[in-house]
Amino acid sequence: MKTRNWILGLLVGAGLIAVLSLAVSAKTNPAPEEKPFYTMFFEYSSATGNIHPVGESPPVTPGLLKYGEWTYRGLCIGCHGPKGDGNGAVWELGEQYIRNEDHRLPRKPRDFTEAVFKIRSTPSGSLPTDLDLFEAISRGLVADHDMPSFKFLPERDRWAVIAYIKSLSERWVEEADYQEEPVEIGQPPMPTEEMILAGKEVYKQMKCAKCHGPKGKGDGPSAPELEDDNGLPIVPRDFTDASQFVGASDPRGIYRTFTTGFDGTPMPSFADFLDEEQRWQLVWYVMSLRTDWDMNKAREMLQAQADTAGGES
Amino acid sequence: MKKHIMHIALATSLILGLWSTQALAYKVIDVSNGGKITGVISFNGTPPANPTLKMTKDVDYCGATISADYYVVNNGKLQNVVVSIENIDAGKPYDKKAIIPFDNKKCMFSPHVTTAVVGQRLGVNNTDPILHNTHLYHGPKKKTMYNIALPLKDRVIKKRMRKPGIVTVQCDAHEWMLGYVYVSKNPYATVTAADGTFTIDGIPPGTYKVKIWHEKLGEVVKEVTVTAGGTTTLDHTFSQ
Ligand code: HEC
Ligand code: HEC
Repeated sequence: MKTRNWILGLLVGAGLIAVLSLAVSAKTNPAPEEKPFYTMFFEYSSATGNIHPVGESPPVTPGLLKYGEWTYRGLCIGCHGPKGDGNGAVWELGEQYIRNEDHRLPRKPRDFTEAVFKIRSTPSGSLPTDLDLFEAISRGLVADHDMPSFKFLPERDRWAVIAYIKSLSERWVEEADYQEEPVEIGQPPMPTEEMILAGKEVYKQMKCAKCHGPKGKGDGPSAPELEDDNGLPIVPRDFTDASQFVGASDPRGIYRTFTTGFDGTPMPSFADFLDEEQRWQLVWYVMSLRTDWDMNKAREMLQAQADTAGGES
Repeated sequence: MKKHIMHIALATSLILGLWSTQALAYKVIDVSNGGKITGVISFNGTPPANPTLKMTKDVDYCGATISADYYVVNNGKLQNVVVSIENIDAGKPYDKKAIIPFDNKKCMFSPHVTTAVVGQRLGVNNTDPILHNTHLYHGPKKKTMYNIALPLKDRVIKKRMRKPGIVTVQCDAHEWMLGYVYVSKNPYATVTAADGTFTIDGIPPGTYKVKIWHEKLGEVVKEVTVTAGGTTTLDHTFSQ
């Protein structure tokens, strides 16, 4: 009897020590960003919390695909559905309780079997790059709380789920030959008053106000009847509130949005009508419509970004 | 072992699949003594009334209302019907570099219906001094193929038609605008003229399935035999 208790105590003690040492080692571990990718590959727990990948994307193997499917089943299936067509339980329940608008997602989850994507660095009509998908999944599509951010996932899981999503539509194979090159987006120039004024003129010439309204509040004359590919009403973005953007709301993100458009929505591509200079002017004008716009702050942030040579937010 | 068999089956079907899509691609051959299909597409009875479209934007330029162009019937003859040979793998040459004109004109699409061969480009233009956006949707599920803004007048934007099928064209800025591009796998597709007539020529002798499609009246498929140097008549009458 006594010896039993003694052994038990020893076991409990050993367990405690193990847990403690784990906790200590977790504390002394370097920050996840500093880890080389190969260690991340083996240590499941490392959540990098980044939107841009730090490591390389792993090669697509049957193992990775399988892993992506598990990740999908665990985290995405409820909204995007068992078939990946966007008819997950969350959406279907929303339809069922249509009387209560609160139950509905404002946007239908993406149908991966059709593979039409909003957030692309590639021209309208082309598929997004893996990096585009990585960023969209990491950032989430947060306007109206459509889709949460998944930046807490280890990078491997994100790459794996991307590989899996891409296996759900034939477009990725059938149209591989037709894909156009991504648009190159350089570093934004420092904003100035003149630039913003010029941008206002570009906004007028390009007639963005038709949908987004004269002050960018999303209330243009064509706004009321707009629909997305699912036939659901969609409103043009209100530029005064950056928190409602579904793509990146930083200068390069905005540049990308109006250059390539949001396929599957009325937001068209203006790529054929704007030169590089006009694009940055337009970017800064759109940014300047924010209620909390502050030119000096924007310049400071841009300078800081250039100094650390970081990317977009 | 089972797994291996599965893999082999998969690989074989993949190879077969690739091979068959290649076999499906249209091949240009010399058609020296081709035949012709010609005919008239009619509408029997009183055609349904075209709805009046309310133009709620750019009224000073577009006007306030216009009659839709869904049924264009002249003396019982139906315009804007697509006639297309579906199963022809090899035949006459065509201009792969041709740009198929498609205009935004007076807040309507002109032409209302057109055809293009897979790989050809649509040349979208805007002759109006207002913003249009030409939004092309593919197939019956209407999924975005391209969405291009046309903020400035008279600049032709060329977009390649990559997949066969019906392409629906809309303008988000003016929700009443509607048009169609029938993208065919071969150059044997056309649209009926104002008098309901059509002609398809340079067809190698043989028996073919010909599709007759109207945006509202649906489609019929008829079997047609074409002889060397001969002309086969193909008429069809739609009714409500
Ligand atoms: C709470 C529901 C929900 C969950 C969970 C969810 N999604 Fe989504 N997802 C959505 C909705 C809604 C959209 C469409 C948003 C829009 O159109 O603005 C979307 C869109 C997307 C897009 C399209 C982005 C684009 O550029 O068009 C991708 C990719 C995506 N989700 C991946 C995922 C992955 C991977 C997971 C799991 C890790 C996941 N989603 C989990 C709701 C969800
Ligand atoms: C035909 C209507 C239309 C026109 C014209 C239009 N937009 Fe949009 N735009 C939209 C809609 C609708 C959305 C919302 C898309 C969504 O929620 O997914 C949008 C979204 C956006 C976004 C937000 C993307 C995000 O991340 O949330 C930006 C930026 C934008 N538009 C910029 C512009 C600029 C700049 C112009 C003119 C050059 C312009 N748009 C012209 C309809 C339009």
